[in-house]
Amino acid sequence: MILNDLNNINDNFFSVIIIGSGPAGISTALKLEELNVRTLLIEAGGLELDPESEDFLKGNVYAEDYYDISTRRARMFGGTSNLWGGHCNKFEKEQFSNWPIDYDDLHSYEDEAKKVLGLKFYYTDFYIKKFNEDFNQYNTRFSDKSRNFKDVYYDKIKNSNYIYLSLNTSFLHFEGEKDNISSVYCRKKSNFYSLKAKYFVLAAGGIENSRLLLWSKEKNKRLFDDNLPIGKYYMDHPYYDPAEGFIKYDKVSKYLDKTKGRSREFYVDCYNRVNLSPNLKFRSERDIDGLTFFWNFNHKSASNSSYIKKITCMSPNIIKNFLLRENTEDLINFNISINQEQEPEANNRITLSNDLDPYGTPLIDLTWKMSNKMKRCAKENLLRLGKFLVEKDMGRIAINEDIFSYDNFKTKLNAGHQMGGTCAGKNKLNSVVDKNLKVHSIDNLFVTGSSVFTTSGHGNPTYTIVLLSLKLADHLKKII
Amino acid sequence: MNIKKNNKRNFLKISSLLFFSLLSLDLNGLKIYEQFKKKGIKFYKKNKKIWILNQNDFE
Repeated sequence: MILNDLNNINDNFFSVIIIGSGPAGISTALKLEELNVRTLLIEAGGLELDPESEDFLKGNVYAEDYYDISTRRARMFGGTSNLWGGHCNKFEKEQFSNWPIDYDDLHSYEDEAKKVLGLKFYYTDFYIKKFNEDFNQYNTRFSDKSRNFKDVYYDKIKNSNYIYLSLNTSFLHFEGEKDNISSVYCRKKSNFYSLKAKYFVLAAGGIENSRLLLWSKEKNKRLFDDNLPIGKYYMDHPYYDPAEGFIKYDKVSKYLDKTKGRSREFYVDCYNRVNLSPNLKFRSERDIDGLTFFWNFNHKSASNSSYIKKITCMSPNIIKNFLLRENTEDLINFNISINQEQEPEANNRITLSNDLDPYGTPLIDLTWKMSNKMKRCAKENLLRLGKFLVEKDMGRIAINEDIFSYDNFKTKLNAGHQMGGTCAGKNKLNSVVDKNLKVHSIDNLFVTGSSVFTTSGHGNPTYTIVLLSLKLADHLKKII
Repeated sequence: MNIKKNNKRNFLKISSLLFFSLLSLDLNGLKIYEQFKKKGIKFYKKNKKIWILNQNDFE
């Protein structure tokens, strides 16, 4: 149901008010609808992206290489699902060891999450399998039509008897006394409202969740525990192209028994690529975190021929050794992209800026740095893969020299996966929410989305965001 | 009268002993052959890229 007027709403008419209508907010509302819980969904934007919404999303970024943070978020119904490519990955179990949430419990919502995201079985379900002694191979799955939540769910919510949607309604801050939120203070057009409910869910996005909590804390200092590390442990996935090279098709394909053959292409997902990640043994041995190698293969013979010419100029013997024994067609040019896990660090954080958005809420200052450990991780993984290719005589790899220097290390861009800031954990000294995503020390405030991630993993976060939101809705039903 | 060629016998004895010793070391994780091959890895810089190559690539 669409709410155009927020006047004359009875107190506690809604059991739950959800702030934000991105994948997290909508998934929570849909699950609550199934459980017959009346919910108000507040969205700051409308159905289309307003160019002026950038004024609410910008901020000061203090980082070596980082993107314009206003471009990777969408202040509109459907949130960031209006921008994403539909990629879904599943967390590895080992990466969940520091989370307060049980991995198997969370993944008991998998079937529902796949339904919400429209994950189709193109070739296979999620899998992780051994590639060699050091790397696992895993796949990415895709939402059908790169699922845009606005197109898929607007009509459903419009016709719902349990979900009430109020567009162009900006959340300003929480109101209440110690340990309990009484209402959300918000603005719709030029009117201001205090909306009451039993429970409140903040699902405004990876950065917005921290910003809005920090501002609520500033407005009402008695409401939140002073020690809550709101905004700290911010994480992102650096994404860059550090290497290229060539392989012999037949030798590599022996290691990829999950591939589906069509012509000579590797069909492990919708792209001609293989996803590799270092296994737990390798990570522990070298004290490094995870990453994904997107091993992208170029099957066009013309570009392969030009690549072979390039290598021939460098070392004729490489080509002589390969081509005297193999066909030219067996030689395939590849490049590697990296999507890298970031360790949670307190210094990577969101704080309130002195600059204000058009409604008077402070914008953010974002401090972000890629640690030397992450840089070493990229180097060690690339070297290990390169040596493996040589030892098995499968191919050769060329790594950008920047990778070997901490000072000159360059990333192309970041994946725009804004995570952390309101991390989940057992201890309120280093986390903001508990295993049920409830804010420590507040009885009726919950947070969902990528901001609650305890660790970032190295895959796309949306699948886990939906899992967390479904679990939260289930928990809310139990306590209402 | 047959005269046994002791030299040949001794050589076989010693070489088989050496072979099995190396094999057992390899099985026990020392991976001598792998280590030997790794020594053939060379790093080569060209156009701001570091190539990981085999010694054979230059021979």
